[in-house]
Amino acid sequence: MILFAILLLWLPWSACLAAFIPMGAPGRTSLVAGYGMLTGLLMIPVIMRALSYLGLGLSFGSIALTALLVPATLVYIANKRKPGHQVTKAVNDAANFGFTLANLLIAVIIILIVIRTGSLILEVFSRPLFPWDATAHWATKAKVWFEYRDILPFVDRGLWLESDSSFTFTDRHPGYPKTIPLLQTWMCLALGRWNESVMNIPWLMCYFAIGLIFYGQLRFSRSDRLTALAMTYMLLSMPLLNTHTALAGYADLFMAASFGAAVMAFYHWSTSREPWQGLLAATFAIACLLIKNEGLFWLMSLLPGLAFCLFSYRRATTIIAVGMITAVGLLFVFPSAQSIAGHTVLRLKLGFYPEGIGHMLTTLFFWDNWHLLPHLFLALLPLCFFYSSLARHRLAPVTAVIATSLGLFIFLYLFTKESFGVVNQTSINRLALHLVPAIAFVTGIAWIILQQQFIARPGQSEDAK
Amino acid sequence: MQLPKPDSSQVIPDTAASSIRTARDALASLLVGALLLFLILAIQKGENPFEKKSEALSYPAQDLRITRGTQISGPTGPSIMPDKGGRSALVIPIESLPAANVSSIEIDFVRIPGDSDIQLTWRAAGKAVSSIKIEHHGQGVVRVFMERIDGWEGEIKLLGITVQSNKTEPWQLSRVSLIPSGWAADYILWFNSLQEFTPWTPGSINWYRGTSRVESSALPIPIFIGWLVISLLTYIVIFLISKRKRPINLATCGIMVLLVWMVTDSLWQLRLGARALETYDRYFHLSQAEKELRTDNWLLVYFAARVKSQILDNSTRVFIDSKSGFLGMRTAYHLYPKNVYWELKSPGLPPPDRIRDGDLVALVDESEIVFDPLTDTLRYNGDKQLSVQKLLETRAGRLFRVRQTDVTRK
Repeated sequence: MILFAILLLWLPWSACLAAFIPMGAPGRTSLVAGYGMLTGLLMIPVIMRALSYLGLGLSFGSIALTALLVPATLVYIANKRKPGHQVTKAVNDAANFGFTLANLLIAVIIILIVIRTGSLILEVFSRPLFPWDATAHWATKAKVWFEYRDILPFVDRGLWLESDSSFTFTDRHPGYPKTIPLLQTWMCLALGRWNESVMNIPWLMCYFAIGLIFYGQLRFSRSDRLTALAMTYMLLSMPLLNTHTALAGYADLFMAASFGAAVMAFYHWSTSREPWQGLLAATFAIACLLIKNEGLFWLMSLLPGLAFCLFSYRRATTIIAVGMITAVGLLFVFPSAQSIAGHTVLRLKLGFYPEGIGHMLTTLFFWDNWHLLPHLFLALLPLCFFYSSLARHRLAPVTAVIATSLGLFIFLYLFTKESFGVVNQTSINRLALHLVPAIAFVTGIAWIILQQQFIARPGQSEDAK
Repeated sequence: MQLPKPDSSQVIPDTAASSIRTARDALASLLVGALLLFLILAIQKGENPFEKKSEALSYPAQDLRITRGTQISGPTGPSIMPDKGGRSALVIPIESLPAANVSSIEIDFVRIPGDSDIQLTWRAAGKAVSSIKIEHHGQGVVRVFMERIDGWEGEIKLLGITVQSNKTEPWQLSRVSLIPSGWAADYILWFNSLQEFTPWTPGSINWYRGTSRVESSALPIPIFIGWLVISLLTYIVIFLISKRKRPINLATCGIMVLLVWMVTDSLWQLRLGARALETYDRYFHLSQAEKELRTDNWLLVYFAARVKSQILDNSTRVFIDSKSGFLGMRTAYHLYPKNVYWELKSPGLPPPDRIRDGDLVALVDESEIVFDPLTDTLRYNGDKQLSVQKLLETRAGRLFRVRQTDVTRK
């Protein structure tokens, strides 16, 4: 049953994606597998919510049946509407099985990824729930919903104290989205009993999905196999990404996957206008809302990138500037007690908190949370912009997205009371994790563009052959 | 907007000859980069790395004096047989040794029972005997860093090793070395801090420094970034002064980045792998209930089970309070799917008029709520009182049933 539950999170949705992603697209297999897996991880909870809303409760059979029918219907519709697949030219890097540095490095990287994955599998399959938030407000809901086989309400403490119902519950964050606890509930429903190791398997799947999507999208950028694999290894080796898989139970890994998947697809849509990439970008950007309340801000960070795609650079810059000024102005006129995405202006206590600067720089550039990614990002992106007009053209929209999300990140930690999250190092890296796959992707794209530009210059190609 | 189509091309060498050239350039640059970085760090510390340092003092097994237990012959050399109580001890023959001259002590165990409690013991002039426990893994080299250990100061007059084991099995070591202070020892100390085992902690989910030491000088990322930058500059300089005027190969730069990343990551992988094995050993073959009892919070698990047994029906609510946010939260978690109320701060009980007869109040560990056994009341927030009946008390906490609610105001 566990295996069946895992496959239901993956295969039907990959089949669905296979109907949308054109045959022959570079990295198609990885894209289908990765996006399919992430779709399943986000859609199964949606199905559970729908069934519970219809009064059918949460039973493994009904969820499984729906999880087969929904993608099957989507595949049917896709095939009916689009009888023939578009064929996109694949990258021509036929495997060379002789001794080359590339083959040697590919073998080494695969071994390293396998070792890493093995370590994480051991952790996930062995460890009971460990980290703070996992037991404070995520798995609390899963325990109740699994016990009662239904999505029972969690309300804030005031309402709970007034409630006469025995089936109304409370915890530290009753208003958080339901996706994460429902995934845990799903795995326990498959097993038939509460198990804190089995219920964390979706975190392992999310980790795989991040790797597959990242590799597939890099391959779609016409990257060669070694470059794409090396960059995927770099992403999958980052300590906090690993930790959030090993010590499963937080929602941040899923947010990283969803936002990263959206940004990667957005980049390709902005450069190629492939409709399916646009659909993926929109889907996973909206899916951020299902994972954490903060997903709204990451969804909004895509808007400036969209402006760069739809308007001329000058007009887009004007629109973004006006938008930012309006947003800042709204902060001062918005009702201070009104909550947006779980935050109120009153509780944010707007102001400048300079003590966060040093801690932010330390954790990003001196500690080993993300290995060398922040340094490579800061070195490669400006270099790429400086060196290549092609890069400026291609990277502008996605850079606007990254700049906006980084701007929100910096604003949160330097201009609101959330700065305590950087001073005591509690939340800053969890929020940074949301952005890491997207930033790693842009860094990777910058490198690939540099590669392509570099060897295109006269006198360079000889060495590359 | 008309976007240019990307070209499809490769820069990674696909022949053996170009592979060897690329690898050679990358490795040579990294090697020179490492050497330059080493020199820069040594100069920055005001040390001459070529200056000859005092050498380590090394004592082979036959030079050590057994003071407890007996020496026996074995196939791999002389071993030490503990006395009937499982105790054995030996002394390292030093006459007098300035503590400041020794930064670490290295003991090469050939064989030692895994459950042995090993202590390094010493006496400084005019001081009492001090000792520290040595962590070991049954065999192999164990290095004890002495520089920040309390009592390791002044003139050391006596230095020894004691071993206590449940088994009377012989054990064996090949040598004991006293490593002097200096850059070599510093680097060994640094390297050790990068890869030594540290278990998962609640903070692991939030940050990873890269080292088990807290000093900023020990952080690996600035060192590795420095190494990469110097190596890349070395490569570019070699290119500039090269007479053959071969162009800069971006693949070589990429391979340098990848290799430095791999070195950085290998340290994390060692730590991650060790933690995974520890988790596997501790939990893998256990059921969910057994796993919970193997955690560090097993007392809470036991307490929560006792609390659950007191819950009569679904309408019973459980209020939890503790001075420790973590213990309160974890107890609440173990009580779900029962109807639980917990607040981070203590006292976290709502006003008495919001609590009903039959509700349970669990005070976990220490609490700001005081139980008065004479009147059977819980007092909190100065003027709030709650009539209760004490149901149980364990090492983890106490449980009360609310009998009637009564608001008393000053």
